[in-house]
Amino acid sequence: MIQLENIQFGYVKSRPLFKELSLTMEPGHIYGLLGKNGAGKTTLLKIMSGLRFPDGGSATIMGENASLRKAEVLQNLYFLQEEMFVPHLRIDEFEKAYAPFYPNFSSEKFAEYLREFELDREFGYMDKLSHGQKKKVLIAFALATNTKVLIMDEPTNGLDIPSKSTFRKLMASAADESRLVIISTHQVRDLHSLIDMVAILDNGHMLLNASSFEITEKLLFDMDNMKSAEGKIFYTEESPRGNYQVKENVNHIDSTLDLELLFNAAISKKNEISNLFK
Amino acid sequence: MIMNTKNIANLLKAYFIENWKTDLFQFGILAAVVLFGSIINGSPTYLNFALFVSCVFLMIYPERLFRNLHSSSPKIHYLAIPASNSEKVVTNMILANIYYVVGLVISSALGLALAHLFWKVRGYDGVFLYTSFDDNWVLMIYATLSVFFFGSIYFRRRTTLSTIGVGLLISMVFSLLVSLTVWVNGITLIPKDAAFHDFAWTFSSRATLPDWITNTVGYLILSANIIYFYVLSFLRLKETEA
Repeated sequence: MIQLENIQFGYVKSRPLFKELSLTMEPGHIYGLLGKNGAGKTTLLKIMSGLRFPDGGSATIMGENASLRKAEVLQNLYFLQEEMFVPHLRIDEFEKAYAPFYPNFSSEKFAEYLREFELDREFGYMDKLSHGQKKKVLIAFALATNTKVLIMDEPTNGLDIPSKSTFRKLMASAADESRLVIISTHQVRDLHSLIDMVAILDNGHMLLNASSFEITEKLLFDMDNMKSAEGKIFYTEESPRGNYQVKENVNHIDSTLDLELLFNAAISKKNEISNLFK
Repeated sequence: MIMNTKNIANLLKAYFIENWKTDLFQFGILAAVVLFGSIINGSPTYLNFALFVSCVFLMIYPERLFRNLHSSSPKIHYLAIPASNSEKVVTNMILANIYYVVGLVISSALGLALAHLFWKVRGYDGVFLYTSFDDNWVLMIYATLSVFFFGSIYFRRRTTLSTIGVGLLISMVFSLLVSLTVWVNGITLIPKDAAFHDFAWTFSSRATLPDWITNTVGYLILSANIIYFYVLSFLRLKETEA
C-alpha cells in the first residue's frame, strides 16, 4: 500500500536526512514509527503523503506516485498533523465543509467518536477549543473518514490520561484488515498495546521494520534473568524494581514487547539488532 | 489534468462555509467606501473612484484565497484536501474571476446607487454612470488579476506587496530597455498615434490598419498573459511542498 524505494532526502544538501531509505507498509496493521528527535519521522510521513518530494528514489501510495497528490489518493488518505490547523468553524460546519471530500465518511461514527471524547457537534468554534479538544475533534474526524491510509503524527500529545485510553479504544475499533494506520510517536507507552508493527528510523535508514510477533520471537524482554539467563544481552536498564533487559530470545520464550526498551536497545546496538532482523 | 466537477463543487462549498461572513463584510465595506467617497468628494460623478476601489479589493483577494499556503500547518491542511492541484487552481480562478468580481460589481453598484440617492435628496440630479466602461479595461483588469493570483501562490508572505514590488521592477527594466532601443535605433514598434481602444472600435470601420494591428496584438498579449500566469500558478502549486 505504501512503498518507499531508495528514498534520498535532505533539507540541506550537505546533510542528507535519508540515504537510500526503503520501506514497505501493508494494510491490516498499525505501524509505530519511532525515532529520535530530528530523525525525520514527520518528514517521512510527509513524503508518504506527497506533501514533500524526495530528492531521489520513489514514494508510491496505493500504486500511485505520492508526489502527484491525486484526488483519488487523497480521498483515501488522512494526515493528522502534530501541529494542528483548525479553521474558524464550528464542529458541525467543519464536518459540512470537509466531510464531502471523503466518500466513505460516516457522520454517525463521527458523532459517536465525539461522544466518546465527551464532545459534540455544538461545542462551539474549533479554534477556540483547547489544544487537547482540537486534537480530539480531529482524531474523531480522521477515524470517521474511513480512509484506507491514516497517518497520525504524535496523536496522543496534548491528550489527558482518560482521553489517551479512549484514543486506544477507538483506534482498536477503527482498525481493520483493509486499513493501514501509521502512528509516529515518542509516547510509546501510550500506544504500546495498539501497535503491531514497529518501524525504527535512525540516521537516515530504517533500523528495524518488523511485527511485534517477530520481535518477541527474536528478542526477550526480561527482568533480572527471571525468564532466562541465556542469550546475548543487548540492553539493560536499571530501575528500583530490578534490571530490565533486552536479550536474544534463544529459547523462544514468550515475553511482552516493551517499545521503549526495544527502541533503546535498537539505538544502542544498531548493527546487532539490525542484523538479527535481516 | 482531468478535473472532477464534484471536487470543484466541494472546494467551492468548503470555501463558502469558511468565508461567507468575511466576504459579506468586505462587500459591505466596499459599498460604504464608494458611498462615503462620493459624499466626501462632493460630486455624483464617481465611477472612476468606485472602479479604483473595486480593483484594489480584487487585487488583494488572491492573497486571501491562498492564505493557507503561507504557513506550515494550514499548508498541510490545504495540500492534503482531496482534490487535485488543477481542481484547486480552477476553483480559486472561479472565485476570483467570477464570484468575487460579481460581488464587487453588486456592492459597488449598491454604493453608487445609495450615493446617487444621497445626491438626489440634496437636489443634485447627477448622471448615474456605471455602464460606460471600456471592454479593453476589463481585459486589462483580468490580466492584472492573473499576475496577483500567481503572486499569491509564488510568494510566501505579503504576497500582494511583493507582487506589486516585483511588477514595478520588471516594468521599469522593460521601460528602460524599450527606451534604450528607441533611443539607439530611433524606431518604435507602436504605430504613430495608435491608442488602445475597445473591441467595438477596433473592429469597426473607423479603425485604420495600424490601429487594428496595435489593438489586436494588445488583446492577444493580454489574453496570453492571463493564460500564462494561470498555468504558472498551477505549476507552482504542483511543486509546492509542506
